[in-house]
Amino acid sequence: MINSGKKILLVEDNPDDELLTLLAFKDNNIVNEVIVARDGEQALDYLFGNGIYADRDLSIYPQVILLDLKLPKVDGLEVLKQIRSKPLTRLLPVVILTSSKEEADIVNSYQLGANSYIRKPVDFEQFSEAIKQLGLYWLVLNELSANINT
Amino acid sequence: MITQKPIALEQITEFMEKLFQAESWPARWNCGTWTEFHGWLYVCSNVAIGAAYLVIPFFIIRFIKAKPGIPLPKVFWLFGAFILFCGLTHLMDAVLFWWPAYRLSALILFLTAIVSWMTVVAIYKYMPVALNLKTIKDFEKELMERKRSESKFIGLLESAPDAMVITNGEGKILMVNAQTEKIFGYNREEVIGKEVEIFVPQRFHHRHTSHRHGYVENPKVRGMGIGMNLFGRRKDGSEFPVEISLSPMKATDEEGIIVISAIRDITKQKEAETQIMNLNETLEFQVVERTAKLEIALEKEKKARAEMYHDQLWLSFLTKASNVLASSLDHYETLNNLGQITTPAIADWCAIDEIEADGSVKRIVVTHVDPEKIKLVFELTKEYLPHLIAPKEIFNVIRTQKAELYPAITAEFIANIARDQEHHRLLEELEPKSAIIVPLHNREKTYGVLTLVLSDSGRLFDETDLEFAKELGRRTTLAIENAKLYKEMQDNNAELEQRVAIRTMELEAINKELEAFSYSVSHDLRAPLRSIDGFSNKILKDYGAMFDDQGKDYFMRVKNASQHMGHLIDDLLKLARISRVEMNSQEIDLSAIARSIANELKESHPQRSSTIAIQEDMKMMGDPNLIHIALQNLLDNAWKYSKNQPSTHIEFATIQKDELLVYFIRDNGVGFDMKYADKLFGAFQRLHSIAEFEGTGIGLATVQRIIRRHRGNIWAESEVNKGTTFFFTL
Repeated sequence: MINSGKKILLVEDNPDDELLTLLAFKDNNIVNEVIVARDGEQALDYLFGNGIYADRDLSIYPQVILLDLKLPKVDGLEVLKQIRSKPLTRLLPVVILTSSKEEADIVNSYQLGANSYIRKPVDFEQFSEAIKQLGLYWLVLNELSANINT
Repeated sequence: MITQKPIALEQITEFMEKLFQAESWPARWNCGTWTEFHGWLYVCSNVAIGAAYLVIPFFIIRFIKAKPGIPLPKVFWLFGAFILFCGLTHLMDAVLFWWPAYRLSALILFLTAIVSWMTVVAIYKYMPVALNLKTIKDFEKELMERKRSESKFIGLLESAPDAMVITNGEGKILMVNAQTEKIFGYNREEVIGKEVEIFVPQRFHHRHTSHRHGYVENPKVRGMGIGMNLFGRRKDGSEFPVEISLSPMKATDEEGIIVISAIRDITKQKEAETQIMNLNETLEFQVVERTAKLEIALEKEKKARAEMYHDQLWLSFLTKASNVLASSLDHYETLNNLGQITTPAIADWCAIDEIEADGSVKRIVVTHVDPEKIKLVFELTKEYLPHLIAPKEIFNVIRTQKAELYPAITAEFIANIARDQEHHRLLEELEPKSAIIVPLHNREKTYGVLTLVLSDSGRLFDETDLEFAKELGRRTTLAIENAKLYKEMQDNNAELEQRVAIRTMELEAINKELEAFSYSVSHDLRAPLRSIDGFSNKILKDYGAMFDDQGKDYFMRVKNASQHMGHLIDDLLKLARISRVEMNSQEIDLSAIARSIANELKESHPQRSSTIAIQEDMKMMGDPNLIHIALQNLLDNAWKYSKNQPSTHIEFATIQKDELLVYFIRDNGVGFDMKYADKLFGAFQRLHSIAEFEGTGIGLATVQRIIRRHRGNIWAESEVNKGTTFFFTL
């Protein structure tokens, strides 16, 4: 069981994908708390303590952000740009998790400072394997900067 | 001593006086004792010798007389005398037997002694000359040499290109060569020995003979009759021009001088000279004639120039007009410019009327030397257009399309054409004196009318003016046509440009839509597939126990179908992307790319027995990513379709075909029926079922698109169960 009290922020508008991602976490015994934002605006609200997250303790930050690109309201690339432009969040690991394999999306994501780019496969078993690798890497192996919020 | 001298003289005188006295001595018979025999032997022998000695000189004299040229004749004479005297002494010796005249005998002996010594002296003196005298052999040798040089000389003579005639000092022909026979038409036998005048025309004989004598007096090598025309005469009497050079030759003393004449037939040269002379004469004549003609033409031109002074005015005006007409493509501007230059150059006022689309006539340009009067001219048309100058003039011109000339317009004429008082007043004020009306028309259409009018400049229009005005009309018409065409073209262009702009916008919109579509496909179309696959998976895993095998199989089919559709979408997007991406051309090592793909294939199925032969150093210019995709697809196919063979053999190499390098990838797989070859490269076209061989049917369409983007071509050859070969050019 991987649960180090570290949170995962999943930004995903498709409920099926959301569920499948959660199922994949579960299948791979990743039991960290997953905060789900269903559009870009919600994701930004959560990260910067706005809107419904106005009362959130900003000292608690997710260990990794799984960010879809195609999102209602504010799209994934814009969310990434804002994350990288604010001191509070600029060092947070962001993994792009999307259906797109467009070269332009990949290049733009890395240019805006994405840490990783993963394409969701159709085959659930492959998807599940990807989630497992992702969890292992970002939740267990990867060390964050100690002063991530400063 | 004194007594002795007279004694000697006395003795000589006595000797001479008594020369024939024989009394002092006895006859020899009585002197001593002679036998008969001894005495007669002595006498007879002496008489015989004496007789012989007397005969010999006769022969010598005869010899000398017969051979006047013999050498040393003096010696011969002396020798004759010597023999004669010797004979006399012997005769005297015999006479003494009976008549003992010893004094006479002594005198004869004395004379013989003198002649003998003279002969000795002469022989001694002439000995060296005699030794040098030539023998007969010497003469023969010399003769041979002479003959040889003579034949050489004759050979030279015969081969000479000219006629060679050799004459002696008297002008007798000694020798001629073959060329002489040829030129003059004689056989040499006919001319040898004749006088050389046989070759000279009769009329020159006298002169020739005297010249010939002159030459013999002062012979030297020279041409004959230099600067004169010389003629030869043939046997048939005909004459021909010749050139002659003479050279004298000294022969033996007896023959005196001989003269060698080289005679050349110069008929051809003369003919050529004559031709040249004739030609020159003709040319000279032509020059004279031409000059005369030119002078006449010059005269004419002068006259014409004077006459055409105003034509020139017109010509320069037409040039100017052409420039003006070509300077603008707006036809109002063009016509206005034309009107401006017309006055005062060729007319005092000018009007251009145009036929409108509805057939009405509109005056669009008026110019006048007096700007004040422009208004009047316009006024004329406003009220009275159809009857501008004469009741029907302009319309007449429009109808007949023929230009009209009014050389002299009289007050009466104006009064006749005036429609009313006002019109009459206008016309009187404008004072037209002479006018030309020219239609502006081509074969199909009449655009309008050009009116030129002279009023107070003192000039009147004539027929020449009319012709020029017509020309001006033609040029103006062309300018109007051009302007109209240009306007049409501009309108068309504007329309076209607008259409292009709209089409571009449409295309851009479509392109954007397409991009959005493919983005949406890649994103949104896959999401449901993931759900289908994901939840099917979940059902099988978590609720599998609730289904029998058939139910599980159905779920497996759902899963497989969704995954297959995922591949289809991916491949479709790839195909679409291949046409969109920009080509990045660089040198590619096809062999290296193929090797890495082959290695991946082998690693993916390590258990398969396979050989993949790749030719070394296949290099080309192209986009590395696209070429990689193409090779990946082709090699994947080769690998895939040969999986059922006991051993897979794949070859990637090149062949040369008609100066074209052709790449090929050959496998020993299942192959296909060539009748389906046309379906091979279509998207979603498959020649095998998914159950046999997995695939989406997009791979070869992708390959073809890549090859075509590299301006190459791809085709396949195959036979069922015998393998397939893909050929492509790049």
